[in-house]
Amino acid sequence: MPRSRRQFLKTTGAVASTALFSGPILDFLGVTDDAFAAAVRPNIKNLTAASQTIVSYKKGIAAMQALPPNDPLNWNNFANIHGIGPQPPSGSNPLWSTCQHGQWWFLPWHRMYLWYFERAIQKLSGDNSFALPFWDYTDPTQRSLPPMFRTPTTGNVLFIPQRNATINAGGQLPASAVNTSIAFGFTTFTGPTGTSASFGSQQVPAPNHGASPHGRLESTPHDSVHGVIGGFMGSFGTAARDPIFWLHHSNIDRLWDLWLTTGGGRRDTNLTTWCNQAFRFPDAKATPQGTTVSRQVKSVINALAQLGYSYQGVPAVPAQSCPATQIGSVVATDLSKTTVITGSGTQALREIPTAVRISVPKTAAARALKAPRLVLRIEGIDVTAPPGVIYEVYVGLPAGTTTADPSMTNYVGNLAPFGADEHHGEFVAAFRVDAQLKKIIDANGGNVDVTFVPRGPLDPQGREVPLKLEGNVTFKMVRLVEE
Amino acid sequence: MRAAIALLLIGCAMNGDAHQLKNAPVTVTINVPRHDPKRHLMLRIEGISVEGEVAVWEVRVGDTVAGTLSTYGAEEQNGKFVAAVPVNPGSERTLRITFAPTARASGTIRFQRLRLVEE
Repeated sequence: MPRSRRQFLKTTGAVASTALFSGPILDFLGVTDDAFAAAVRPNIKNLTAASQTIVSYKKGIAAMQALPPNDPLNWNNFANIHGIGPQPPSGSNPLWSTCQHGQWWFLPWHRMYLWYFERAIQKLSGDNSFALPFWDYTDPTQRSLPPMFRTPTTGNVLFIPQRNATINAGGQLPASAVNTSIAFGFTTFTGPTGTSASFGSQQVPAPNHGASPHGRLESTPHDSVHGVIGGFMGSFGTAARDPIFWLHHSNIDRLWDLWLTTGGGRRDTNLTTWCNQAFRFPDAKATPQGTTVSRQVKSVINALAQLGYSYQGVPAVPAQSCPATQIGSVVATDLSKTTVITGSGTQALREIPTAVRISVPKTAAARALKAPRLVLRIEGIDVTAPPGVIYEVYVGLPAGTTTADPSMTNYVGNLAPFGADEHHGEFVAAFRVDAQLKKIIDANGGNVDVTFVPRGPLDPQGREVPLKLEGNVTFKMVRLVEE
Repeated sequence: MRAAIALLLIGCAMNGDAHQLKNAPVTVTINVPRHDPKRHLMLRIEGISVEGEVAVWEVRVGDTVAGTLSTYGAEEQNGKFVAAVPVNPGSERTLRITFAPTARASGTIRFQRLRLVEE
C-alpha cells in the first residue's frame, strides 16, 4: 500500500528525525518523494499470478530483458553487478562483480541492490507502487518455490529451467536449509576478522566480493537456499539472473529487520568503517535513466525511514544509528606520561587517572563552534570482567590539576562499562560536551584533553579507599562528533 | 591482533589429505578440549573446494542438526573457502560429526581440515 511523503513523515516522524538527519550523506543524490512510494513489501504467499504485484514484476523483468545488452538496466547487465559467471560478457564495467559476501557489508549491500532493482521494476513496469515481495520459506507451508515461478508456460519470465529439477517440480526446501533459530540466537551483528559467530558476518577493512567464513544468517538460510535451488542460484556469477533471487533476498532483508525487533541487545554495528562505506548502482529513476549513483551504508540502516519500505508482518523496527560527522582526530598524547596506544591498538584504563588528547584542526574548528550539539564518543570499549569501578570523565582539565570532582564544570559524566561484556569490544559511551569544548577551542582549533578518573566504593565513613580493579577496561578510540 | 585473540584454536581433528563428500553421509569424531563456555564454539570446515553440481549438506552433531554446509561462494575462493557451524558440546568430551546430503548430486565437495575454534 503506497503512502504519500506527507503521510509517511507524519506516521514515522520520530524515526525519520533521528535517522534521516543524523549525518550528511555526502555522495548520495538525495531521498526523493517517489522513494517513499514502495511501502509494504508483501508476502508472496498472499499473491497469485494475477495479482498486480506479480503482473508488474513480470512486466518489469520483460522490459529489462528487452533493453540493449549494454544498457545499465538490462536484465543480465543488472545481474552482472552481483557477479559475472563462467562465461563473462565482453567488455568491462566497474559495477560488475561487486556483491559483498562473507563480511559485514553482506546485508547492507544486498539491501541497496534490491532497492535499486525495485526502482527499476517500478520504472520499467510503469507501476510506481510496485513493492518487491518476499518468499518466507521459514513458514513450513511455503517450502516449495512459489507456484508462479515454476509454471513453464510460454512467456512466463518467472520460470527458468536452470534450477534443480526437483525444486522446479514443486519439491520442498529441507527444514535444515531454512532454519533461522540458530542465526537469531546470535546477538551481535558482527565480530572480529576471521570469525563467524555473529549474525551479520565478520568485520573486514574494505569491501570484499567473496570472503569467508560467512556469518550465521548468511550461512543459513541464505547460502543454503541458494544451494538447494541450484542452477543459476548456485553461483555468485549467475544468481541474480533467476527471478527468485530477488524474493529470496527480500526475505533475507526481512529477516535482518526481524532480528532487530527481537531485542536482547540485537542492533547493527555503528562502527564508522561499516557506516561510511559507499556502494554504487544504476538508478532507474535518475536522469538520465540508469545513471550510476553512490550510497553509503548509513543511509540504508533504517529501511522505512530512509528507503520508504517495510515488510508485511514485521513489527516496528528499532531505529539504528551511525556516528555523525567526525570533526576531531585522535592524536593520543598522554598527559600522565604513560603510554597511550590508539589506532589499531587499545587504550587501557587503570586505577589511576588516564588522559588522552584530541586535536581539533583549524579546518574543523568553525564547524565545531557553530555545532548545536557536540558529543564525545568513547568507542570500542571492552572489559575482561566487570571492573568494580566507574570512570568520571572530564574534558579540558587545566594543566596541573591534582584533584577532580563532579562539581567541576569540566565533568561530563561517568563511563560505567556495565553491559560492555555483552558487546564483544563494540560498546560505546557518549557524552555531550558543547559547553566544555567551546571554552577550549577557538577559530584556530585546539587540543581537547579527556581525563578518566576512576572511582570505587567509599568506606562506611564516606572516605576513599585504595582501588582494586576486578577487570581490565580498554577502548579503541575517542572521537569528537557533531550531532 | 584481535582476530588472533578471538580465534583461539582449541582443537584440530583432521589434517593432511583432503576429505571428500559425495552423496553418502560421512561421520568423523572430534575431541573437545577445554574451552570457555561463555564463548561460541565453532566447527570450522576449512579449505573447501567444489567440483560439479553439489548438494547442501546437513552438519549434525550427534543426532542434532547444528547447521548446514552450503558451498555458495566457494568457487570465488579457489580452495580456501571456510564454512562454520556453531556447536554446543555440553559435557561431551568427543563429538560425533556427521555430514549428510539433503539431496543427491553428481559433484564432490572436498575440504582440507576440520577444527574447533572458540570465538
